[in-house]
Amino acid sequence: MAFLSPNSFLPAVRRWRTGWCALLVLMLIATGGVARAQTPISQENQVKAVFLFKLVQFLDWPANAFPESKSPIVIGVLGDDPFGSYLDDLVKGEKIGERPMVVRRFHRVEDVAGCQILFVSRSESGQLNRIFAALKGRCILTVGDVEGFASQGGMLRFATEGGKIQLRINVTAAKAAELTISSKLLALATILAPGKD
Amino acid sequence: MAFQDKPIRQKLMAINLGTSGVVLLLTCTVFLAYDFLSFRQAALRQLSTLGDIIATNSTGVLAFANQGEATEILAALRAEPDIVSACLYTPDSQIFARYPAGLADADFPPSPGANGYRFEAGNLVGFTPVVQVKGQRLGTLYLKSDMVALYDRLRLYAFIAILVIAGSSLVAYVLSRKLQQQISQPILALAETAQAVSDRRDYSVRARKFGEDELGLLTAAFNHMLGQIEEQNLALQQAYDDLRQSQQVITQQERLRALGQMASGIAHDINNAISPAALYAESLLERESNLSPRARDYLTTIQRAIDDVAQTVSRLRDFYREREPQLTLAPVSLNELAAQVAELTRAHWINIAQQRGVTLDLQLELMPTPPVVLGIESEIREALTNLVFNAVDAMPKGGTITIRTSLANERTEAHPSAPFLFAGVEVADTGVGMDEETQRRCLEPFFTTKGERGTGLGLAMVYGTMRRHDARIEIDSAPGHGTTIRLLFPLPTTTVELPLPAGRGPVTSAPLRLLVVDDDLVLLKSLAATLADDGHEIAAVGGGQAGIDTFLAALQSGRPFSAVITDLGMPHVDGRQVAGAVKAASPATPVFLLTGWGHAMAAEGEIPAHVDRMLTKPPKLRELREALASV
Repeated sequence: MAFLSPNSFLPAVRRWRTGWCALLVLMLIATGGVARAQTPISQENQVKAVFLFKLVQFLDWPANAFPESKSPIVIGVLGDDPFGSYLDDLVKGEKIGERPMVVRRFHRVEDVAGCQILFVSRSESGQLNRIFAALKGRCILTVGDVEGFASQGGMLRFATEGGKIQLRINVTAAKAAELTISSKLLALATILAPGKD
Repeated sequence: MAFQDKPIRQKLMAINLGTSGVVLLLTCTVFLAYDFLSFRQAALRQLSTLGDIIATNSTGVLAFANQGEATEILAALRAEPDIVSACLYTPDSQIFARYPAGLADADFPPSPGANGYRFEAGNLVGFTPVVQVKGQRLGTLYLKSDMVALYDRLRLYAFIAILVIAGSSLVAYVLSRKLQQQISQPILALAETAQAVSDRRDYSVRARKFGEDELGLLTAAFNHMLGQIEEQNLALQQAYDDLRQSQQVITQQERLRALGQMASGIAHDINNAISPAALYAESLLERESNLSPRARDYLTTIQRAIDDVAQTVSRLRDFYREREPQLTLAPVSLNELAAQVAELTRAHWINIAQQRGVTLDLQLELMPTPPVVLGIESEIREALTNLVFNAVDAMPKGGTITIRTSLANERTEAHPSAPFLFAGVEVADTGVGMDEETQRRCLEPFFTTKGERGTGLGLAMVYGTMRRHDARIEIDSAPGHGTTIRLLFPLPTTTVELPLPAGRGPVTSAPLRLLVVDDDLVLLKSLAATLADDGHEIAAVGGGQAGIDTFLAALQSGRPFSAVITDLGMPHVDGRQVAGAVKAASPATPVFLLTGWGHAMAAEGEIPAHVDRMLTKPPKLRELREALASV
């Protein structure tokens, strides 16, 4: 993936994203929390949000993944957020041990920081390789729902089959990120051999 | 039958079996209860552990809503047959997965209850929370286990317990059957002995002793007790026999004494009654020389009849009278006496034997040294003669009479070396013998077995003689085995002298002035007349007071009486008082007391004061004359 060299256009994207984001923030301020709560979210995305929330319980990060012992667990959403406020509501007030849970949204992979789980939105499916390359070596579980997500280097994919959401896990990628995935999770998931999906 | 009435063998068995049975039952019950409780605890723990395992395994499926996987996890419970049903609840109490798969929602609790497991209606049920990370509840596991295994186990235990109890009881039965004999056998032996003793009154049996334990001691004590009872029984029997014998002797003596008193009373009255007749008859025949031969003949007949009566009475007196005090006992040789009697009676028994045509024989068995006793020879001779006559009468078919002299101790067995205390002479025959009743009564006066031929006074006289000699009569007899009558005299403690021949002179006396006092007027009149015939001057007075008055009047008038003859038994003032008054007024005047009891009174030392001589009734002229001659 080295031939993509994404860093060349990243500043432009960031700029665009920043403007868009500012607009969104303005809108949010104007409409308040009500507008976000009323954003219609598909059933499928709701389940994915729940799964995302519950994934935390089956994962273990190395100690250096957090700045300190009470640092929050951060679920990041990269690109267009398909969950709206639903995920925020799920996470609100929840704690894993002493750590509270927090949702953060990122527009550019370069912005991603202090995050333990990163959901990569469909909007980013074109630049997956660049994203994975950027995150390489960091203790972040990458989750996505686009086809080929796991096989391309993502760690966990929500695959919809027969109206149900299945888990596909790229164990190699997870191991590379020094993440430990609970066997109970693995038992439910389809384990991918590298290069397939 | 109540327990306490059961045989001791059964009691011991029952106690042994009961005790071991109860102990075993208790042990088994405790074990069973312990096992039941611990098994329950184990089952609870096991189910709780199982719940934990399944809950832990179910976190993923609940978290990621994988129903298929969840159902598969629960299906693994097939391996545990006790698990009846199980299910997983989602956090909002929806049943997410179930086991067995076919069960309806209604078969499960509508919503999860409290965590933990408990017994409910014979089942073990409970809930385990499904949690992956602390604080994040993913759902709840429900498990329901029946207690079939527990009850199966209990049943098996109960079966084993019953087998053990039955087996142990059998062993206990066999053992205690053998061992209880150690205790029951001595007791039974003791009981049997006691029964035998009480049934047969046989105190010579003894209980068998089995050992030296308490029962052995009991048996020994019992046997010892039996020995003592036996001894005491023997002593008691002995004492009873002795007592009975002496009682018989005393009874007989009492009887004879009573009879003697009666005979004495009768004799006195008869003597009083015949006294005038005798005196008049004697006087008439003596004084009236001009009596017709017929009158003389009649008077002689009367006199003879009176003599017969007097003789009978006097023979009766031989039975009851006491020894005359003035009669001193003389040494008598029993050997000599026996020989005399044999000689005197020879004519009699030879005559009888010839009359009956039987053979009679008389033998003498005499001591080589003649035993000498103190006594009245004539009386003893008379007694022996009587015995020989009786012996002859007792042998209507002939036989042998033996007169035997002997020496004896009181109790020869107790003091074999003691000096002889008694000399005996006995008359034994080989005749018909006497039964017990006859032996008992033969000494009584007028008791006879000879019918009209017997007077019934023979043996009574012998008895009287023996009594006067302080001697004893022993009778050995049995019907058909002859009779031996033994006379036992006490041996004198000092040497004896030869008897002196008694002389006898004519009795005459000068005419006297006499006072005669008697309340029996007929006797008084005859007595006065008879004495007047002898030439005496007689004052006859019919009462004691009158007698005293007459005597005092005569004394004062200067014509005192030479002597006083007074009856003893009188109303108001009796003979003693008369004698007392006479002696008070004139101590030198002799007083003669006339009485039917004279001998008895003399024997008992009752010669009243102031009396010079006792005269017996009926009065004999000879005795009267003798008395008056001494004045």
